Amino acid sequence: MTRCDPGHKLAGMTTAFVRNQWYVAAYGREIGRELFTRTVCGESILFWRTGNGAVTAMSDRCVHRRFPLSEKPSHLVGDTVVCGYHGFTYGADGVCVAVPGQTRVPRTARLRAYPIVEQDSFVWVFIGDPTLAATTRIPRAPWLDKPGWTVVAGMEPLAARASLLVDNLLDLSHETYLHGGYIGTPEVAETPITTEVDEEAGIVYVSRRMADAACPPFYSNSTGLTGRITRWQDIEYTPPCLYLLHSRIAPVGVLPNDDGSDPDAFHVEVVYAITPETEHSTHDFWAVARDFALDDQEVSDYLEKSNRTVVLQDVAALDTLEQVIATEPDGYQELSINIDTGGLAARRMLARMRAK
Amino acid sequence: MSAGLLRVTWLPGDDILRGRCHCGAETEADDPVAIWEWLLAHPDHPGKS
Ligand code: FES
Ligand SMILES: [Fe+2]
Repeated sequence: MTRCDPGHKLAGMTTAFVRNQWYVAAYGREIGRELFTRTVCGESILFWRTGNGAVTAMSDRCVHRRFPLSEKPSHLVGDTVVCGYHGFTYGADGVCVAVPGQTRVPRTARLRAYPIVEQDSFVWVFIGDPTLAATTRIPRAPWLDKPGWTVVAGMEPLAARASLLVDNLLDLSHETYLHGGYIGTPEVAETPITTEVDEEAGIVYVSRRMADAACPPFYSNSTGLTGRITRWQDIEYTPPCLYLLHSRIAPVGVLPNDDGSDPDAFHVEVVYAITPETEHSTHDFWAVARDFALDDQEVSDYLEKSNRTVVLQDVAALDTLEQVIATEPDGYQELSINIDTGGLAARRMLARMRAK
Repeated sequence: MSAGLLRVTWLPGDDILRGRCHCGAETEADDPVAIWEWLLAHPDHPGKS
């Protein structure tokens, strides 16, 4: 089969963060009038909603003695956070407004505040120089918050570096092996792929269009299709964080109309947000949006359970892989073959963003 | 093709990758590392082997 490149170093497997980018920190529904914390790119961040519903984000370390503000007995009083250790009190902008026992508040007493955007059901946080936030794109996943679509979603902790999840998602031929009986069928690993890199937009596309394929349980049980199917998998990865899999399922031979309408197909938008937690752990956000059986709770329950199962199969494999490569000396080797074309393109784009 | 779009096609069962640069130059290779190196060398694409 394909000749490989035994000399190719695993340079793309670096654990360094890509800074000056937007990352998904949470689902909007996770953040309310309780203090909430999540670590993104090694930074512990405190999130909460103000009385008027806006999400706010600031460092989760009190400037006084670094007590975590997410930790009880720290608490909210109106639109301020009171540190649970000695009572330093901060406003929604992170500025300290009161300290115990004295009227003068030190001018430098402020928490680092993070730019935040709530969009497409996600809370996005900007990691890096905040003055760059407004001019840095936030990729879209509109199906997650749009009439005509029903969504199931979750987040699994991954004890592996983010680049391992990028590799995993950019090469879906692994579905045939790791996810056989769920979403994998033999055709996935056997079907031609086209990889495209849009240098200006900063997007990697990998497209696999199966004209005549078996229908895996994930789709037969949700769509009701029983025979062979036409199955399209069109990946659109916008590094570093957002991964979309545009999935189209239809009876064999049924194609979209010339005007682009596509009434006889089932569409599933699979969304992942790949957010580094530390250099060796990742928040694996996943969502499945569909444009059929919108009110069918059984279909929702099935897709949620099945997709979570599939995600956990990946998590188990990648957790193991992280243990293995974390203990190997630098400069160990790996070997790439044709199926890795998309993954290599993504690694290169990430390396370029990291170097900026 | 939009400016800056690089494309690699691969037919499984065939070991060859086909790469096309945004400038229109094309090449073939049997390994994805080599094909990206060639595409990213634009405008100095090495001659076809
Ligand atoms: S550590 Fe927060 S007030 Fe002292
Ligand atoms: Fe997977």
